[in-house]
Formats: sequence, C-alpha cells, structure tokens
Amino acid sequence: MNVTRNDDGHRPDADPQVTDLLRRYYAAPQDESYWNGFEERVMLSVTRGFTRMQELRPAWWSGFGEFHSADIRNAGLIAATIALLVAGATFVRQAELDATHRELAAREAVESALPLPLDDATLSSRARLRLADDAPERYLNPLDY
Amino acid sequence: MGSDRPVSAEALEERDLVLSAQAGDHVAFAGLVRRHQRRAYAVARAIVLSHDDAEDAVQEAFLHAFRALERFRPEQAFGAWLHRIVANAALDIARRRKVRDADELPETLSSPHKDPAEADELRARLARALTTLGERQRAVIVLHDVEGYKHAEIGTLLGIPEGTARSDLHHARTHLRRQLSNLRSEK
Repeated sequence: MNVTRNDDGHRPDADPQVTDLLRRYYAAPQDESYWNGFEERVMLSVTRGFTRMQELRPAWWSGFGEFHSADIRNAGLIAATIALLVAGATFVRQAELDATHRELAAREAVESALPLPLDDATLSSRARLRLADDAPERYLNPLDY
Repeated sequence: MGSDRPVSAEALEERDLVLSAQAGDHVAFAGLVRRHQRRAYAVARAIVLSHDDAEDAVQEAFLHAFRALERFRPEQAFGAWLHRIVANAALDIARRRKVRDADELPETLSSPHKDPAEADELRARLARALTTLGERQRAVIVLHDVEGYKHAEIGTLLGIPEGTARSDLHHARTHLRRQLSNLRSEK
C-alpha cells in the first residue's frame, strides 16, 4: 500500500507531544542486522510451513493405503452384490425385449402369409351367396345323392 | 483501454519478483519479504500490543501470503494485498491475546529490541494508556499518527468505514491526551 501522508498529527484534536511520544514508542527497530535476521526467520517459517503443507496435502492414491483387508472385503462384497443386481436386472430386461421381438416377428409372419384383402365385389357376392334348397339334406345324408 | 500511468522500475521489479515467487522461486519471495517487512511490521505493531506479537503476526502473514500467492493477480499492488493479510493476522493475534491475557496487567508489554526508553515513566504511562484504548481505536491512532495512513487506507486495512476510522481517531486522541495530561503537568 502506498501510504499518503496525512495531516501528520497536526489537526486541532491532535496533541503534538502525544503524537511524538507515540512515534517514539512505536518506532520500529533501526538496526539493519535485526531486519536481516527477521527476514531469515520469516523465510524459515515460510519454508517450514510450505514443507508441512506439502506433507499434509494427500496424494490422490494415498487413500488406498488406509484400507484394511476387512474394508477391502466389505467393499468387494458390496460391489459384487451391486454387480449381481445390475446383471440380473439387465438379464430380465433383455429377456422381456427378446420375447417382445419374437412375438412381433411371429405376428409379422402370420400377417404376411394371409391372402390379400378381398375386393368389395367378392365380399358382396359372398355375402349374398345362397345355398341350394336341398343343401341341408345333402349335407346330412350325402349317400342318398 | 488500460491505464496509461507510467510504471516505475521498482514496480516492474516487484512484479517480476511476484511472478517468480508464484512460479515457486523462494529467493524471489525472500526479495518480497525484504521489501515489505518493515511496513508489514509497522502495520502489525499498530494493531497488537507488543513487539513479539507484531513479529508473530508478520511471520504468519508472510506464510499466508506465500500460500495464497497463486491467487494473487500481479496487476494488483502487492503491498496493499500483503498489508491486508498482515492486518488480519494481527487482529487475529490481538483477539486471541485478549482472551488469553484478559487478567494480565498492562505492564507485561514487552519490547525485546531493547529500547532504552522502556523504563521511562512517560513511556510506561503511555503503554498503560494505550491498553485502556479499544483495540480498533489504538490501531487507528497508530496507523494515522505514527505510520501516516489516511482514513480511507485505514478503513481498507481494518475493514471499517472511513467515517468510523475518523471518529475512532478523534476519540483515541482525546482519550490519550486526557490520560497523559496529568503526567506532563507534573513534569
């Protein structure tokens, strides 16, 4: 921050003597060796803090090292159960789909084997077809004819 | 478009140091420490009650700054950014200290850089008077009258409105003048 000098403690409510006393009280160490030593201490704490931070920051694979065999077994059992359920659901779904396909194929085959729809004339002549008067007799006693 | 303000060689050098430090160069960061440690100390010292605590605050602040350096945008003023961190570290230490040392007497103030005026009666009275000031008022008067910060700058550093800094300064000055008037009249 670029400090802009203020009224320098000379405002009406400022007591120059108190201001002067404060400045002497709060005067930073002037000794250059103090600041060199302080810089070294700051850098030491920064380096230590940085190293500690690196140590504490876990690598992505480090979590695996914390697994115990029991944990692995439980996780495996859960995963296997889930896989089994998923596989079962998939199998049932596939079977249903197959059945639907088979039914559709059979229906298609039957429909393709049927004759083409009759025209109106045929339908109307068939509708008006009349049996011979003796037809029932012939059907009932065919040897007599 | 961008600002046409001339950039000083010092600012360019600082920018280079910041960029190198951001790339993990500890020597460059040491350069930033060297440039800013005095001002950082002054800011911290204005907020905490002792030299020791000011040193701790500055060390913590530089460590925080180093950790947060990757989030710092080099076009910003590094000093302003750092001083905010220092002020926060110092305020944090002052709060912790207040809780811990609630019952201790003000005479326990320390100044290990062995200022010969430590024993001075007026100095001791000032130290006592300072402890009777509120933490924020003390910081405001020191930052303003000792370090030369303006009200707006103090507001930014301490996270308070400029008007609050102004009124805190007035109250702090009045309080200290009253506290120290007896002693000076005795002299």
